[in-house]
Amino acid sequence: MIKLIEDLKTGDVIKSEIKDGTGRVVVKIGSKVTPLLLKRLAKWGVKNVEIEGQEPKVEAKKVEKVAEKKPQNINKELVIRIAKKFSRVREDPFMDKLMKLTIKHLSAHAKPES
Amino acid sequence: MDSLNLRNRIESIDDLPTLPVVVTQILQATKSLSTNANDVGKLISDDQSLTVKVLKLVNSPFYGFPQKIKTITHAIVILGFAKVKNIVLAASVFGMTKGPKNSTVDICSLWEHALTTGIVCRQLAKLRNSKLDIEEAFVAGLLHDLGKVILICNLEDICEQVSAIVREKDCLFYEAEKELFDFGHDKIGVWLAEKWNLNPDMIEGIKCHHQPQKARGDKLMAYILHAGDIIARALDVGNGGDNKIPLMDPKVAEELDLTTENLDKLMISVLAELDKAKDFFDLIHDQN
Ligand SMILES: [Fe+2]
Ligand SMILES: [Fe+2]
Repeated sequence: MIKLIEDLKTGDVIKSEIKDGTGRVVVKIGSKVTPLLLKRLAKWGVKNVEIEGQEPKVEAKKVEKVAEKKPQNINKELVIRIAKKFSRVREDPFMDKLMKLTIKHLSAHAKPES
Repeated sequence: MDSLNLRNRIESIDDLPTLPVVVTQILQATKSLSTNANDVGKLISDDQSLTVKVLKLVNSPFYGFPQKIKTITHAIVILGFAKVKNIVLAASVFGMTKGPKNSTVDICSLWEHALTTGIVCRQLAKLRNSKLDIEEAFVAGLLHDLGKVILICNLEDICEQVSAIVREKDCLFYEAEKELFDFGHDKIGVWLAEKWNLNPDMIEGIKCHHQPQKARGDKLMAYILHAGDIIARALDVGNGGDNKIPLMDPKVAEELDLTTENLDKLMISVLAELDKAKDFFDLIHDQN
């Protein structure tokens, strides 16, 4: 996974070698991140590095949730109510489209709760 | 009860919902070419409560006229016979029924569904720029479930049987009717619409709003009612006795050109119209 320099932790294992401007390898694959290496990376102006390991799942979910919330604050009750009405016809592409449009417009139209 | 008996019972109902005499007279008068604004104006003005209701609707944001319209004759001159006739009809239908207090289908919710359907149909006719008059589309939407009005007001026990199936199976009112009888509120509505002398396009539309391709002649009214009913249900205003949405006939979606883009436009305009129609919604609650 790619990590920003500021997110690197001591003990992270470098997965891709880091080269300087002339192409010389300055950090080898398999090196462990140390406080000294962090200082050097900052000095060299390195922005991100690839390290061993997978993106943590929890973090990925968080990002998704934020992304979902951003465009519109969709009223959950409204979605459930409308989806229930459409429950028998959702396999039909037209009805599915109609349902999504309805939810979109009713959410946008709803007055902010006082 | 079988279908034949149901038919007999409907035929023998003697206190059917009726339009006020004045409305029937206006419907007749506006059909005749020799009628002038003064004649019709006088007919309406003689009925004080109808006049108040009509002027309130005429001046509501729904019709959006900049200056205040003070008399019925003035309204006819500005809006024309056809529009005023439809406004009179709208002002009259909500009050003509007294639904039983504990009915399984709430009459106010049904009228709200009908009014919303009318508003959607009006916008469908408008956006499509069709040859169908937008106010005709509005009234047709308003009356498309007339058969349910009779079920609620005159055939309480049958209405309860249908509702029991709807509750048990969470199905459409129309499907529950079909399970019990070989005809439903669509045909019952036609029967009343004929007694009221509504125009033939409207009657054909009411008859076929659940099976739009069966409409004879020009199918446009039936298509608009079919789509209007479905979109009104989606928007979740009012309730026609069930909590499900029927499938849109693909032919209707195609003929009315209900693309994502057009549906987007339609929903924006319908929601704006619903806000403007507050006086209509108030009328439902004032009279029931
Ligand atoms: Fe219906
Ligand atoms: Fe309906």
